[in-house]
Amino acid sequence: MRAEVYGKIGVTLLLLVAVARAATASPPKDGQPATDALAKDAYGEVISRERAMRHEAALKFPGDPWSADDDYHDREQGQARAFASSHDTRLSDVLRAVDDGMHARWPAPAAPDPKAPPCRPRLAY
Amino acid sequence: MKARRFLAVLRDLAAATWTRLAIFTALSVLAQWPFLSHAGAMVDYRDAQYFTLFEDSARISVLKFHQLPLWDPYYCGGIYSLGTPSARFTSPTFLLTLLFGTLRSSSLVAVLATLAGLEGTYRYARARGAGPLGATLAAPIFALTGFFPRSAAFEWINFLGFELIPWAALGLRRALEGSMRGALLAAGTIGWMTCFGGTYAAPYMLLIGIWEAGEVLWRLRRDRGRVKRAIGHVMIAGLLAGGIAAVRLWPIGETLSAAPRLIGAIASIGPLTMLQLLFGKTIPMRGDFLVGVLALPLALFAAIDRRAIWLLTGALFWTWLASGYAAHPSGYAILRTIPPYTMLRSPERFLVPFALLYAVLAARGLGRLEVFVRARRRQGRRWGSPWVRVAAATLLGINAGVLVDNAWSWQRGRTLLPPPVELREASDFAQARGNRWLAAYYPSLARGTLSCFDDYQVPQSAELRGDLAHEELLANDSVGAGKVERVAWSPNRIDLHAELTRPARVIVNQNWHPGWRSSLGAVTSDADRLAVDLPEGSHDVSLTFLPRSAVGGATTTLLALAGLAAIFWLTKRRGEPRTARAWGICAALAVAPLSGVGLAFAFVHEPPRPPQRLVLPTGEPMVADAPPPHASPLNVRLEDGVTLEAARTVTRILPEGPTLDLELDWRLAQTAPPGLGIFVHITPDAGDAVNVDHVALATLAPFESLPANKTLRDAIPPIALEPNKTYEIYVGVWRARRGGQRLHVTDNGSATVDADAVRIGTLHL
Repeated sequence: MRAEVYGKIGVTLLLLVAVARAATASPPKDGQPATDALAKDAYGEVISRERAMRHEAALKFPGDPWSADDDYHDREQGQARAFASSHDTRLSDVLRAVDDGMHARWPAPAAPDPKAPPCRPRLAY
Repeated sequence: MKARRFLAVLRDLAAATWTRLAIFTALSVLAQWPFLSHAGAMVDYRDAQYFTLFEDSARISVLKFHQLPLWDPYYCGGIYSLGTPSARFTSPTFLLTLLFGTLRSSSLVAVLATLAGLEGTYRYARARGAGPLGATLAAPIFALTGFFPRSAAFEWINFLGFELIPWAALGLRRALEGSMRGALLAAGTIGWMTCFGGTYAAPYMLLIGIWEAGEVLWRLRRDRGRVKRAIGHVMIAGLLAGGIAAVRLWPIGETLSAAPRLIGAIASIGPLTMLQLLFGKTIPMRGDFLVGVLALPLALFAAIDRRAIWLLTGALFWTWLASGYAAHPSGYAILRTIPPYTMLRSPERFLVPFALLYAVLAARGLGRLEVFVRARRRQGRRWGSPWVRVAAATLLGINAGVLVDNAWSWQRGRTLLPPPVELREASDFAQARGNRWLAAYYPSLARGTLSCFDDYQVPQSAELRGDLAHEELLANDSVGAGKVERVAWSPNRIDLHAELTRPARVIVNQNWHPGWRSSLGAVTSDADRLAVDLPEGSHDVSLTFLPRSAVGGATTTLLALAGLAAIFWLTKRRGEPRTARAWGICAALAVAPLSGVGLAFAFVHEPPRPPQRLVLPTGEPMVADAPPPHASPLNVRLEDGVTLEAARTVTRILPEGPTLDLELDWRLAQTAPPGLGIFVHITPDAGDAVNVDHVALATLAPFESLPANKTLRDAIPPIALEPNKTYEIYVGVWRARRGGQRLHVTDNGSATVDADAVRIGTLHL
């Protein structure tokens, strides 16, 4: 009987410890909010290489529009993260800047493609 | 004497439910401690992005819009949440998401899943003849097998539903042995697994169930009364499990029938690879499916017992399936011809049920060792010391430590990112071009990401845009008919106001689904976008999303849960059903939930999905009577009634470089067997070959879903090539989703053929 009570107390306490740890854990430190000027810089930098990166992606995945687009986005995310890291700004702000720039048609070296091909995953992924 | 007393204390601790649960809870928290310590962080892994997005989308629907999570506007231009195979929110664990947020709840789900796996394995092992100490010490072999920490590290939280497999197996076992409560346990856990995104766990459970049934029915074969009762229990379990899972099964079935999974999945896992997956390669032991080599002596000791024949053959059966196409004959290949297994991949995941049987064998091994040691002691021979048992128990304990260490290493191997930051009002929604590699960041920006991935052909419009000033707009041929503006937005409901001088079409920049309906006019699909045709005048219009499968599925699920509760209450009050009347009541309670399906068909009207538009990007039909006039005839015949009628190559020089337009014109003599794919190898005079292998002709549909006796125009999207090279083009057909063999060419026609590859031509760029 005493073992059962101790067992129940043990289970409860251990689960509370787990909840407390999960609730108080600190995620990795984020950067600073982006200013308007920095947001425009982010947009320009991420979009500037789109044409070249899309061509590289098309050579990597010939005849496969979704895979080529997906490969471009992999390169694009690398650029977005590098910008956030090098400017100590939040990744969310950089992604917002790319979106704001496309919606508001901010000046850019080349117009970004606003569409994405429907998801058609490759046979082996 | 001390050893025996020590073992007796351990056995008593293991046998007492709450003491054991406290031990298991401690082990679960310990194993997930690094996960808990980094709760709230975003995992830097592509799959983590969309698994997190699915859960977060549901959380936002409930907490910000007070709506059921039916439509997920944040992914692929809008998808049906309940029809998303990997989404896990239809589970009690969603409460943790609502309380702690999506990212923090994952680690808590992992703790609870591990605990469930440990206790489930213990009980299952006990039901299969293991002693309490052996079952306790062997439980981590399954609950902490490498598959689980690996899944958690990738944020594949829905795969943690596999931890309920021992419970489902235990329930089925008890049901077959005559326990109605066992049937209810099986139904509840299978239903839960399926609702938790268990697109793998549930089909696996069906196989486990067949194995359990085979074993128990073989044992009962001479007692026809018990066999009948066993079958009755299993049928009730199956009906209730299907009923509970209906809220997901129906929508997922609908989604995948409209947008199938076309995946290769012809993996081969050789014996050495499998051993490394299970036991690791070096010290410290690491493995994707690590079960620990230290338990192997006990598992083998148990396996040589004649009474363990079903366990042993079961373990071999799962490794046979897990070997994929490496085995000859391949059980996995056979399985992949039977729906729903046709859509599964990664055969190595069959090592999860293997881990359960390995755990049971190790647990039984400790019990068998006890009998062996006692016999030796009575005979006064060697190996009769109780310390032998202590050593064996210690080995199992160390094995558990190895598994915890492996779990920690998976967690420590993750790269973590700061979590998404909420930067807009949720109701200020618009589509963004987005980025699926960072998809989880978009719901917090009140944006959907058009760039997306899932491993099926997501029903998605190619016309959606991520740069529109307004998400609701008049169609091109309705421009000038007036104006439309958004009044209110939420995932399942969009309120619009339209001022129209003539009838007009309003387009919403989201995907169409037959579950969308309008308070006025007719909802329609405009190039797969959501659209509504409105009459002239000033209108307030509400578009709402309420698919029939959601209503019918949810009704069926709720009725099945009520049926399960009612049968539980009846058996608690009156015991197991013994009379025909009692069986009739239980059967009625199990069957009645299916009325939810009929009610939904009777009261919720929904247009059928229109047939897929088989149209090429040029607007020409993909299915024609003959090849286009500009194509070169080939008339090459292959096996299975496939003919390559003609081909056409056109090269264009663009600013970025040369591009090839390639069209292959096929004809089928009869419906094609499933699983065929087309290989296109473009071989340059220097450098790597370019492969344009594909399954869907013209990116639209596979051979098996296309008609016979018609020309099937496989217009391949532009192929970027390098300048100043000469390319040879070879094409053919192979069993892309079966064994990988090429279809033999039976008649060369007017082409040159080499190793069943048809030479189409030479390009000088």
